[in-house]
Amino acid sequence: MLKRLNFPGDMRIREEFNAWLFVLPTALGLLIFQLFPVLFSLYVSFTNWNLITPPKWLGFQNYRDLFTIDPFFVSTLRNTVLYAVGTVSFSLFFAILVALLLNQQLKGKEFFRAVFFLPVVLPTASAALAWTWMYDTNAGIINSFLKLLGLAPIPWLVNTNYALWALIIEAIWASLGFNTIIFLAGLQNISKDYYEAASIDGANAWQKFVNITLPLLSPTTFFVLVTSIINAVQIFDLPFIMTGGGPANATQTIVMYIYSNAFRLQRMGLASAVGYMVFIIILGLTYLNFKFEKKWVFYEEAV
Amino acid sequence: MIVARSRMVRFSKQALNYVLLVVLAFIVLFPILWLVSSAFKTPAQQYEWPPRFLPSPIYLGNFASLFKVMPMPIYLMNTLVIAVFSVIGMCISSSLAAFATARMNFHGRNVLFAMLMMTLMIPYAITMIPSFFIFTRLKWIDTFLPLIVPNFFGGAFMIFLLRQAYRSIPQEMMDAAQLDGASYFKIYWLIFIPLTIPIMVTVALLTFLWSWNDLLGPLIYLNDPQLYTVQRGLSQLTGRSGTGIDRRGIIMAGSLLGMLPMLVIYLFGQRYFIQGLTRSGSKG
Amino acid sequence: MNKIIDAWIEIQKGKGVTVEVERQYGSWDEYWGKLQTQLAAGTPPDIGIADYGRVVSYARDGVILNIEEQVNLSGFSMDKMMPAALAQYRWKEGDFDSGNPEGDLYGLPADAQPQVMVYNKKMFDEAGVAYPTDDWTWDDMLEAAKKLTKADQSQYGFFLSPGLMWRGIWVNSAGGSFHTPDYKKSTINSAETKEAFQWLWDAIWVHKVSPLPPAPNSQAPNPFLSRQVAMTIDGVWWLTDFANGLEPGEWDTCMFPKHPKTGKRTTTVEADGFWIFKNAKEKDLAFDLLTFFCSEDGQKRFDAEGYLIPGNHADVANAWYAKTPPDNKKKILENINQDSVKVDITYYQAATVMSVVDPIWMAAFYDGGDLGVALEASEAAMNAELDKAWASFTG
Repeated sequence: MLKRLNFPGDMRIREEFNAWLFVLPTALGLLIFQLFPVLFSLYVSFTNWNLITPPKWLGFQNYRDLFTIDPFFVSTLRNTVLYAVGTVSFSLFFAILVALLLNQQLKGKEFFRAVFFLPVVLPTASAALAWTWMYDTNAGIINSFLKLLGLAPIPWLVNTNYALWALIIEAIWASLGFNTIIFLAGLQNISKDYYEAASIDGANAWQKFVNITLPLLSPTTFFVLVTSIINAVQIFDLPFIMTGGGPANATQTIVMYIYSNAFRLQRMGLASAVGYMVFIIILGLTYLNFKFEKKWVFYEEAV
Repeated sequence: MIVARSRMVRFSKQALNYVLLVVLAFIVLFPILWLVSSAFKTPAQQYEWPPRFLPSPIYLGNFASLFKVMPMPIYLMNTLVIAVFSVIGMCISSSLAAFATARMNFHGRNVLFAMLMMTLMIPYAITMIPSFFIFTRLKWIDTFLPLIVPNFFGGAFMIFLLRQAYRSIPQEMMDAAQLDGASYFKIYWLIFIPLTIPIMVTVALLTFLWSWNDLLGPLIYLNDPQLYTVQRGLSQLTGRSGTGIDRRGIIMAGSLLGMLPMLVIYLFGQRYFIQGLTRSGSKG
Repeated sequence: MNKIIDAWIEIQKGKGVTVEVERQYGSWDEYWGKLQTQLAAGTPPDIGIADYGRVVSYARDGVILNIEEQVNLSGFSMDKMMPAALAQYRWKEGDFDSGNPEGDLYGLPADAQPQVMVYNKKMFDEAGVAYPTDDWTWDDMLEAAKKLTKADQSQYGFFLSPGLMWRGIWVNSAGGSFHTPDYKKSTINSAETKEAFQWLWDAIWVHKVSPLPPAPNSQAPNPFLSRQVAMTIDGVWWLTDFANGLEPGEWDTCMFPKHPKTGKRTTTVEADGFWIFKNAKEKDLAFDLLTFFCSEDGQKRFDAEGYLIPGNHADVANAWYAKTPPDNKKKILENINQDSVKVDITYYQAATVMSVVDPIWMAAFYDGGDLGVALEASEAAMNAELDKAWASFTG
């Protein structure tokens, strides 16, 4: 039974009305949980607020304090950057490696893929508990292996220099599968024709890798780089459980610092300012990435 | 001769490939295997040298001790409730928004979608405190609401995934349905949803995963120990407080329980995770 | 705790008053977070467990109630309470620290917790080392530790947690301190203080009779409990766990070793207690419950429940310390009576100051780095933090 089409204008209004009904929850969510927080956070970051007494306007003092008299911010920032660099670089390296290994005609490919991806779905808190035991200086299994190889045990979580590495290693383990899957998809998008043509020209495996794989993989690499950095900078669960920020604050990260300022010390203003620093860093890094995208990401369409 | 050699080269390359993969896979799996083994070891065996892989006898006491220290069943229940409702909320709100932005025309559609995608850059660090402020004013602290309700307002990434899936449904189907006089909701409910069950499952699983694994949220909003989630409860096992030699075993048992549901879900649904994410990644 | 509150309710009933007490619990960390939230929302409880470290800030900010007058009027007897414990709840307005005998009371202590020294008799026997005497010194302790440390690192001489440093035990015994008496400057790098720090650092890195300090979130059980060290100093609250985890007769307590020059063997006393919030609705009832908790009757009940260790009232305390195991428990009381001080983290924003300073010197303990450099840096940081604290105090 065909209904008669009404005026086009009528239909347009009907569509518009219905569409807004559909997106209403999301639009509200955007307003309440994204837009409002961004603005409110900015406002609070210029104040001195402890949730009880009314906020007191401080101007840029919080931001100035962060870089001058605040005893922890700079070192926390350093820790976070070191952690991010270590995690992202090694994670990228291993992910590409494993993706290359998986990108063959292999039996059991799905099985391997599933294995590598498993740590991604595991709760960080639970995994961190297990890893903390593995890192135990005296009785942990990692040092046991080192002992087996005749090496000295490493004071993983007790030494201020090694602790960050302990985190990085766990983080690589936890994110490897995710990045591998994405690289795998990227690799599979590269047409075999290129390789065949290169073979005909007499290229060896390494040359093929450098001149075909890497460039054509660069959009994927770019994507993984950006997302990995954004994730790494915001790490919380892992250091919170494994080291509590120690030893001697060597593993305190930015989000941990926000948490302790906001919810342990009730310094909402300072915490918001730190939060905005994170925001700025992420925006800055992403901008830099996009800027360099033109230089080193190679899109097929240009060929 | 050349053929034979190249086949041998290919074979040994494949063999090397396999070996590397097996070694790496073992390294990746090792922590989990070690965790499972430790969870069933007696306190004395935890400190054995050389360490053994298979505990014998298989000791269940760690779990008993764990349950004495914290009410795990309650935590499991709490976490389940929060996760399930979060999934329901996310699926409904995100699919509605995805459908509208995928197949409907309205003013501000592109702006809305662009803004939505931009929110992926807004770190939790920024939204954490204002959200806390809102929920304090609403007096929702020490309830599950702050952890569940935001899911009813959609999630940018999920909308992205669903929208991609909806756009792959031919426009003709939509046109035909409209000619038949179906309402937008009917089209959404009776055509688009059934045709995109796999991606919906992915969204559900990802939301469940995110909710189950969440530590910071419960840390901030749940003070009453009776309301704790599993990860929140487990976080109490850190630090020097707590007595006894059985501590190690308790922590291992707790860690295992904290992971177990995700392990099981993964066992049966891993392709939904992997395929869903692959699709989002290749586009970049 | 519940039983005691119930008992109090019964007593109230006897007086013709019907009371209901709403109880909220949490672990130590969560407790303070939740309390802050409640204070923020303007709905704190009437009465709560007190933290001696927060008395100054809370009193100054008007969060807790000054109960001096009420205590005097009610005739509540405090003469049997341990002075060091009571001092932690006295504050005179304008003071940077608690403890002024002229100060008003802002709460009452419900216990008096010292640090205790324990040793593993079995290990001493195996190594052929004589048990610690009442007169043994730091040097004696070091000698004993060397004999008690095994080459394969399965057993160490002693373990002292880094926390003891800011509690001040070792530092005080050496005649050192953390700050000048007017709280304006840091003395963490003074000769005496440095000596104390150095002695403990050497134990780990030079003589190797002490294991590395534990990782911050270490899941390792107490090393004395896991039989990895022969001697340790820890809070008195560990005695029950030691008793449960070790064989009877395997261990015992003793007096702290004397500093070879000063002859001091200071222990610190911390007193948890209770206080009333200023915004409490039922102030009189809260006060009644408060005094009940801290009265001899209440203390006896706590002791019976095995809840607070140990009672603040001399009689209850004496009884507790007389109970064995371990055999020489009363030595602890002797040590307290001989030489004990209020723990040195009660001054205004002490926690904040030390949270900045501690990681600096602790890094040297964790990494084996230069302690002298670390203490210099600690001094500088502490001075900066003290300045900030004073600015905030007077501002």
